[in-house]
Amino acid sequence: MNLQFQVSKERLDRTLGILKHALDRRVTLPILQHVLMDLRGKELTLKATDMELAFEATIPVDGQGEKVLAVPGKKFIETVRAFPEGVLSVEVPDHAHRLWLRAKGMNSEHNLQPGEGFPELPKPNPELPSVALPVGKLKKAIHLASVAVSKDATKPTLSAVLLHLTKTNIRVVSTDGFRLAVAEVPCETQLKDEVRLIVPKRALDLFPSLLAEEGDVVLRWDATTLFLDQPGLKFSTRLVSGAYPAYEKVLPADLPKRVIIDREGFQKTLRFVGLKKDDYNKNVRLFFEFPNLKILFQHPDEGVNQGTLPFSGEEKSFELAFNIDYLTELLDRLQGEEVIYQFKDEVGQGVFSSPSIEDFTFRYILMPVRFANTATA
Amino acid sequence: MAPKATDPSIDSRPGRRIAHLDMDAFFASVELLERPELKGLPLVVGGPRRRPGSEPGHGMRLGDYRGRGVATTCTYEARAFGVRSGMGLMKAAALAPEALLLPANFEAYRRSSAAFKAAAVAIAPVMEDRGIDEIFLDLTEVPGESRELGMRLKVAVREATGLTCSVGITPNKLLSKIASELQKPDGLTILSQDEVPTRIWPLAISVINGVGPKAAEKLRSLGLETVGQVAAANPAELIGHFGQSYGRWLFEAAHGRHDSPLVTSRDPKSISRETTFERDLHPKADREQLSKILLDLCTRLAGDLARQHVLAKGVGIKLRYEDFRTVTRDVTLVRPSRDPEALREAARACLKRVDLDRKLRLLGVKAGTLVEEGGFLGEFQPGLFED
Repeated sequence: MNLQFQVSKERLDRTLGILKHALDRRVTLPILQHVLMDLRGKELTLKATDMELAFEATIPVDGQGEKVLAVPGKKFIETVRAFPEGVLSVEVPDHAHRLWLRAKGMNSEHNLQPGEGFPELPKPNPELPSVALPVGKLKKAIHLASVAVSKDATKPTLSAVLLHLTKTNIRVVSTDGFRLAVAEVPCETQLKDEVRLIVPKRALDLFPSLLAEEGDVVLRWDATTLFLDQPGLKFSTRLVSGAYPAYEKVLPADLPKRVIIDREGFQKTLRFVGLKKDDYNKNVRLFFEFPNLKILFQHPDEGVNQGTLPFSGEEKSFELAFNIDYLTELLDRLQGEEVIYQFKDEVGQGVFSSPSIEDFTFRYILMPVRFANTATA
Repeated sequence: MAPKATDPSIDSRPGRRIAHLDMDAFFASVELLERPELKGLPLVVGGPRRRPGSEPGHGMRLGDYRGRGVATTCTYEARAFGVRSGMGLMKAAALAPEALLLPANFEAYRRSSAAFKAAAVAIAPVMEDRGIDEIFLDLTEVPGESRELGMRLKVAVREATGLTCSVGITPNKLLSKIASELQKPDGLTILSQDEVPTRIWPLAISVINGVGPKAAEKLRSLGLETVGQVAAANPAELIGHFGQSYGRWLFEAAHGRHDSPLVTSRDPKSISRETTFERDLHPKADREQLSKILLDLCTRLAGDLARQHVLAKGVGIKLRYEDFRTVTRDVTLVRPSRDPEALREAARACLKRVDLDRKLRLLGVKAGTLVEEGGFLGEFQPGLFED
């Protein structure tokens, strides 16, 4: 008997849009370029994995029968997207090794592979530890705190994000060794012992599109994998093995001085002076001469760009220097009117924060650049 | 955590798992990514350099090549004719005249090299970099079975580069290097110490990395041609013929015993660039051409320094005359630099100290005594986690 079912095009398209992130295009295992379709009565389960990320989504269908088959993912996803909105009919003639998509006079044929070769997706043991986290805050925390992830792919732990779970909060942490971003979301985790999960940034970047807008999300984990269970969608990612830097040790405790700067003005001035930067010259100098902040970028060959804007706070003059990218990347993610910099002196690390973040705390710890011919040396 | 070895030159942890990952016909495979239509043909990479960013071009028939270049690498199809990496192109042309000669595109090779290494360390972070197309990885602390890890490495490398590699996983570097060769291309070989007699002993002694042609010849003259024969030899005799250090090492290596640890960082003390000319050049008659070559070498050297974020405090030159005599000269810079002009000026200063009355075969420029960028300017970005 031919297999046939109807499914909402919009629902199938949306689901495949998520699964495509785990489709491999250039792997030695061709089956990983496929989406596994598992039809059981009124439910269609779709699976995709690249052996690091894995998705399993279930959507309702109108049809009957049971069959497991693998369809080449990329073309199938593109084709579903191109169909008009409405109901999509899926047909698999017996022994044909072909699948037909049909709707409103449009037909599309796709090769099939038997589903047996598709790898088993990681499944969480029901006894694994779990925590429920507030989705809205978690999304914002991830967005801000992943700013300092290292771009050096040869440092796998630093090019990932740490989820540090304690009894009373979850910290989202990233660092590239020169700066550190820490967002701390209060929540009662019920955990007896703290847990450190190093999550590939690629996986964490998907969280906003996977998570609902509000409510809680339940995370489970074992030694190698993090599981995220949402209604109709199961997601897992391999965790990065290795030791994450002891970031707590560089969180400065005593920062008696502070300045408050208009965020947008700061951002615009940095963009202007930064027009002089190149791959080898990135250091910008900030001269705080109350009430004016003079920002100066000096390129050894290209000359100087300079801008001035007001600030409030510390009245005694001082000077700081930073990698300009470390400032602009932060300011591009921060919201709100003002940004605060707290510090002890001109050579030790200081902390940027934003007074507009209310429902969790965020700190961006940054090490100033040192210049030998100034007082900051 | 692994127990800390008291002697850093020895890693004798039980259950060691070392992988050797070797890219298959690396340069030729990178070329095939750009020109898949050439797949299956005998290809030789070498000869004139391709400029970064230039179009791939069509290459030339190897039999039409005239010059002194060497084969940087070749595809397995070309190897079937007897062509080997490092072979002179004229000799290669005699073996496989119909093979296609492609200019080397080192920028593309470097990109692929960085990509496969990054993919591998994402799985096994402890890596020894053995050059552009091979690495050792320590899998001892990495969760997972060896076969599964080997497959993951191969998949990750394929995903990152589109290229295949061969992986050998054994208890040490020596065996892994042999194992990765056993099933090339696209192989995965897992060997335990117990399998050495059956899998390794029948092989020619030259499979052991460290047994060069001269040592192999000497062993052959002693009637020792296979690894097993060396393993069965009297160690005292080996020491007698090869000296205490090498003789003992030979005996241990033939038994598959090798405990050197992975060298995970190798700060370059110098970086150099050199080129052998297509024809011998005279310093006076070919002055203009030599001047261009010198600038090109200095520019590429400056690029190397920039990529490694270092500056040179010293610059040296290497000259090889037409009679193969080689001379070197060095100067110290007033201030560290990686400016191509500064490097060229220094190289010229070196050239003034050598005889330039004969034709030259080769010119090289070396940047020595490297310092981190910013260090000399007194301008640097301190790390958060440094003491």
